Amino acid sequence: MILAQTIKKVALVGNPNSGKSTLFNALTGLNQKVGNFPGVTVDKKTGIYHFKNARGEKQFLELVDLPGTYSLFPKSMDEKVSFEVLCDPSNPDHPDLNIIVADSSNLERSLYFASQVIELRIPAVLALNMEDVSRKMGINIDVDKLSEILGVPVVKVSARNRGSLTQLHDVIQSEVQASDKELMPMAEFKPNVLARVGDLVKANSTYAAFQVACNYPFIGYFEKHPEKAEQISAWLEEEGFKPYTLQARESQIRYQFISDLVKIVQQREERKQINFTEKLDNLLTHPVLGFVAFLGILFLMFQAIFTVAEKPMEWIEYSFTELIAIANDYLPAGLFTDVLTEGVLAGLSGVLVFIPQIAFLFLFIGILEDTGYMARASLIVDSFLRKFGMNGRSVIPMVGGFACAIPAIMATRSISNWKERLITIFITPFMSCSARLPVYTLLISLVIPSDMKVFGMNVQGLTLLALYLLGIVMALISGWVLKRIIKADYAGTFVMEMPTYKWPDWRSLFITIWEKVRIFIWDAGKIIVAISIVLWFLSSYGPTERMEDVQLNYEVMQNDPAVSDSLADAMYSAQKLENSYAGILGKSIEPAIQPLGYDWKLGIALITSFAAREVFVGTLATLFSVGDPDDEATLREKMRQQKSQVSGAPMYGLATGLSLMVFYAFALQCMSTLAIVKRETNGWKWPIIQFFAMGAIAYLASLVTYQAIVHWF
Amino acid sequence: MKSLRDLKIGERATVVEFKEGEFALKMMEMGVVPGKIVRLIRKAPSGNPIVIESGMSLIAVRLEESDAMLIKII
Repeated sequence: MILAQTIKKVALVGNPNSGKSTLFNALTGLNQKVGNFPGVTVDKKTGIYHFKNARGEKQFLELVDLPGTYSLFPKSMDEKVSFEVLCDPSNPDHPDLNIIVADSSNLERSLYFASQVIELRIPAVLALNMEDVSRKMGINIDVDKLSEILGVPVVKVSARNRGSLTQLHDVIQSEVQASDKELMPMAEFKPNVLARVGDLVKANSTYAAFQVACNYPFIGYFEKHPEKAEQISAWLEEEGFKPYTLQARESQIRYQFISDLVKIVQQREERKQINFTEKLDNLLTHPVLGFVAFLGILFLMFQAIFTVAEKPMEWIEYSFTELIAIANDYLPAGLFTDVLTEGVLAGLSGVLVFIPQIAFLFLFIGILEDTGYMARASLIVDSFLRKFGMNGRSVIPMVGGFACAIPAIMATRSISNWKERLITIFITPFMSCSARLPVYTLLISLVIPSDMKVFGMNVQGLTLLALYLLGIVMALISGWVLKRIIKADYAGTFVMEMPTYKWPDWRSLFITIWEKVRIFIWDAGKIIVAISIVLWFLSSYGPTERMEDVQLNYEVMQNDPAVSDSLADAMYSAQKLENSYAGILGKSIEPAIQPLGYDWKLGIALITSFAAREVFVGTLATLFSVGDPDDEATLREKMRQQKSQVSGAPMYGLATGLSLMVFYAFALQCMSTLAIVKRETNGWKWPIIQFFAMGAIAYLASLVTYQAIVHWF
Repeated sequence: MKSLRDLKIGERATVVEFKEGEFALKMMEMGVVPGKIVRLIRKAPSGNPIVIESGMSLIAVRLEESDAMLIKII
């Protein structure tokens, strides 16, 4: 049977910026899935790639996109993944065929990694990508000669031009063999050690044995076979095999070989052309104009995420409100309907509502990455952010965090240094996201008079600005502290290629956005829906006798002609929440939050708003029996009338209001963020630390705020 | 021996050797091997990182790390 045939595993390998991902998207389209390589948060993109062969039959290949690297030496997590897949034949992803992607406009650098991979003696095809770009630069490559010297088929492709891919298909379906050429004089690299190592691990080639000998401490395989690692270690010791020296020597010999090779196969017409990249760089990395452009781009991005995404978010929320209403109307009342509407559907709505923001942020990030601007932005802010334990690439997540921490944290994958990435993930939720806005506006309008002015400036507006600044400052302070606490496995160097400017490939970009959205829905969505069902249960159920009393009370109110039906309903919801498990929990934490100036009602709101910060407003509306949860003015009035039972002063005064704002500025009151941090750090350790650390900061800061205002003003 | 710190914008230098470390391997795999000619293209507004040209590549490096690369100014 045809389907029972084992599908060939093909790996796509190459340098960063070689157009590898664009080629992957062009080959697989939407038939792909993105996950993690086992044990690490390195994107593993796999896809099914099919095409019609010469006989018109459909052929299927399983394609895996390995992380872009410059060489086989495993120095970072990305490189370690590529290394293990390629050098360990027992690895589940070890390919039957490599498609090596080379950037034809930078042949020398591309061939370094390409020739290393070829020498692993896995069947390989060299795809000279970005043929269109190199042609414009006047570069002409002799494909046949290159193929002859390297011993592998060579094809010119352009990922942007799908027609050019047929040649690649033709080559792949022919029986591609591994190269039999020895490109490096392996005799100079302690061949007797290599022979022994090669035998021990059943390496494909002497060169593969060399890589294993140099890098065995970084290979997962040896964790299961420690005796083999000890054996290798002993051999290296015996023979004076020094990995660093030999790797450095390999680089030199290999580049010499490649530079000779490039002289043979590449002709370059001397064209007097204005160097576009250099001109644009003069502007975009200019000490003044560079920052103006940078702020302009960030502002545009921020505006788009904030305002353009707002409408679709409203539609999603509106559709779910309608859907919930319909379900309530048509389904029989009872537990099932309640779980469905208030648990599952409410949770789903909470998941899907983030899609517009995620899509917009990744659209912008994709454009910035693909055009090459991201490297420039990183360059100009690197020295500043480095003081706070981050690098230039952290700037995008930080700015994205003003809209929503979720896509921002997903965007940290482009930071290759794990420590800097972790710090960026940690501090991003301090940036004031859009979900804090409803909380801030309610509290500001509650405790600060709208006509209050300082130097002609509206104090309400200034307070909001101060809250944003507070978030930024706390983010930087936390970064500074974390830089000194977190230990890094990899020291990590900041050596960044500045790619030439290019237009983004839109088709590929949209596939990427789609994948990001899908990851969020599948990976984070499960956790979010689960937590929202738990929260729903806690806030709808309580001890039986209490709930029976509430029910009885409701029936009395319904029969009382002095109480209108809507008031009775509102009071019922309030009492139900008050006597639910969440309500009891909220009351029980009152002693702990009293020093912050909060009462039990705020306690309940703090608990329920763990689902999402904006739930705070809705919960208070319920507790104060405001029929319409969006009726902020009524809620504000009711809150103003509350008097403290101790002093008789207004319960929700300036001190409590500011203390609450500070609390929401710092606390990680967002289950979706926790869910995504769990995904991006590969476990519950970091989200839990983050939740408690931010909670502690929020508690202390609110305590200081409240006590300071009460005592000194 | 000089390092990239001593280079003015536009000046060229030959790479002589590297001090052992990750930076060296990283640079070498990107084609900046001893004997290669590099040129200082620009500096970030704060003076660090800097961008050098090597062959067809533009590479940004941090000054402190680049001290591991010893050069001879041409």
